[in-house]
Amino acid sequence: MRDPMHGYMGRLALVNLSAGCVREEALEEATAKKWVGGAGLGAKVLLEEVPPGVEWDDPENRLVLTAGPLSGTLVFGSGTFNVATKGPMTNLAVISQANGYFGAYLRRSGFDGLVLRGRSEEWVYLWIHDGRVEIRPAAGLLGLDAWETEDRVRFELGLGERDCSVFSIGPAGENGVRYAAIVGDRGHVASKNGVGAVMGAKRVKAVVAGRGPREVPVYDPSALRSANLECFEAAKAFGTTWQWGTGGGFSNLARSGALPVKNYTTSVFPEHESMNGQTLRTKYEVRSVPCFRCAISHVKEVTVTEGPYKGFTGEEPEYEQLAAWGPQIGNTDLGATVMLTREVDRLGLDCNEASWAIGWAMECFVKGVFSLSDTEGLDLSWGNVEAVRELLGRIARREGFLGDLLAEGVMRASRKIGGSAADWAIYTMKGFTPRGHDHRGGGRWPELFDTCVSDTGTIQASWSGIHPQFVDLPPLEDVFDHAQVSRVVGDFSGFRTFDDCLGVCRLAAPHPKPLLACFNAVTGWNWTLDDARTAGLRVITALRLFNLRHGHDPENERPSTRYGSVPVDGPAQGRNILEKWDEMRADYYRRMGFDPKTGIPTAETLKRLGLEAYAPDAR
Amino acid sequence: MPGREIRVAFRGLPSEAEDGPDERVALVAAGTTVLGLLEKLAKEAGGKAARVLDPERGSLRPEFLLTLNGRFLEKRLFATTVLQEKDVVEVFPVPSGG
Repeated sequence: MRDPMHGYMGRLALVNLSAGCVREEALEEATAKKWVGGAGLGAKVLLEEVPPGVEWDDPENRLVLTAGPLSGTLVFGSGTFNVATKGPMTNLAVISQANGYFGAYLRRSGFDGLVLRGRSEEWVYLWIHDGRVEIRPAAGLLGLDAWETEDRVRFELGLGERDCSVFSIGPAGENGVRYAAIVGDRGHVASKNGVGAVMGAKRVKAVVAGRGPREVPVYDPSALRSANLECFEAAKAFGTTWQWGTGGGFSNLARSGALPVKNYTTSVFPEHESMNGQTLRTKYEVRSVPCFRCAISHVKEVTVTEGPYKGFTGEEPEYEQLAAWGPQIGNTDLGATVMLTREVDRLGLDCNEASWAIGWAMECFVKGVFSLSDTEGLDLSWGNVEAVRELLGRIARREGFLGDLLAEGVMRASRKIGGSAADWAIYTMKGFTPRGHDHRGGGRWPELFDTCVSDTGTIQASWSGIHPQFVDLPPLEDVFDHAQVSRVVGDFSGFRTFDDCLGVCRLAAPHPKPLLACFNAVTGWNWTLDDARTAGLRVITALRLFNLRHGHDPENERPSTRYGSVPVDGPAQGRNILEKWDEMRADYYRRMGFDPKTGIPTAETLKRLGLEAYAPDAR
Repeated sequence: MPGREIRVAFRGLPSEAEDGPDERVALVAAGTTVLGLLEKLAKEAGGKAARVLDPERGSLRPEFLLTLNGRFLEKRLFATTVLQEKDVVEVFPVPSGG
């Protein structure tokens, strides 16, 4: 008898929505060793099953929801899952993760992943439990927001809050908003590149996984306990998150000119100390709502205790939401960020793209490009949070001129309006949505560069800064040194993508070394850091092959005019990342094993990564 | 020649770094550079300074940034930038978040 494969349930569910049927496929050890799980399995499915010519809303596009080998184990925060698809913002690949419980429950219900193909005739939701997947009618869920959907599904199934994990699309996904997200477990979001729009195009309102009784087979439970504690210690030492959440870095970002303020028209935000994580957790009533088996427990629910939104209870805004609904829209009321965070999540929108789109519209309004007639009565002056609330709803419903325009995302909206307003929009030329910073500021150049050259549909090497020193590579010494920036992005690429294959929250395990120790304890494979990076590079390169095949032009690996502009004030005033962009990009390509001129992976690289079979796609 | 009074602030350190004041005033001789200031602080090596300075190199640890009067100063300019009276030096970690 063959030894069991540790770390895997060994099964994928293939859901054909057009035919209304589900079949199972074994996950073989060779596949697991090559693609690991999570983002890796998603990349494999995209590369092998979605040919050129299949658009994001084509039934033949795939929506791949995968857990990783650590999902559902005792590792803190191991409820994470990955979504992979061809997304509508770029018409290229995306991998996007959400925390919460779904990844763990999917595995405890018997599956390592779901592959959705086709399009259902009627709206449905998937109920995954006890080793099977049911396709159930969802007509009664239509029009509900993400919160209401969770409540209704639990009621229908007769289950309590932690008996199942519900991830759904809100109105934004139903209405094909290009940056619709998949939202679940009260505020966890797979948000990038319109994964919720793809789910909506397939007429799937929600995916629901039962808590399930199955345990993940672990090779060395004792070693796993020990490695998990190392992850925990690393997480506690990582910045200020342990005490203050992701908003703890808000003021440092302000001091370095890296907060997005009024759509990058300034880099100065003197009110930052009244809006940071420290203030939020000191002034507001706070309650922990941790993810699956998470002792870091950075996720909170808060009740506003002062100001116009006193008494409002919602999920604590993470840094991205604080930035989106604070400085980016010119708002200085912390309570309003709590209100808008709830609004964005329940509507099922990516907060980053929503805030770039709305910030751009506000700049257009303030500068006279949009009149009150264009906005259908909305006064989009900086800081008008109630107008922003209303506009979010219009976007999610694609209602009116402005709602429908902004539902396309800021790149398409700004190009449609044209004139000088086209130069005010913040995006990458291939359509990726930057995270919620002013990446022109100190310490964030790697993220700007990474966002532009990445193949993942979002950041690839960076996350909360960039940390080559974690894997014994030279650190970034000078944050405005072009050559150092391309070096650290190229040399650190792969490590974070490997993490995205595992099914664990980054905040619970920020350091690659103890996380790799967890992986080895679970699988018994005894991988080195080089092995882990190679696996991550394989995923990135596979996504690049997919993107090239689907029309990606590496010339588009640049920031938009505003995104790559020179700050006019603040600590980084006058710094210009574009001065040496072409040299940086060529250096990155070399480090990644891509042709330095064309950006196409070389034959040698494909051979090294075991991707030779896909070589013709790259030419 | 009179010395220079420089305001030095350590911002946004992890919570466990509650081991000294966030701000201090450093008195340095005329002509002292930013590097000279950091070397002086590293030698004293108390409180928060000890967390951000590398005593062997007499400079910042790689994970920290420095602004002089609200503008970034590259590490390669530390040795040639001469401090002026009432200059404000702020040191903080490469920001995380997001």
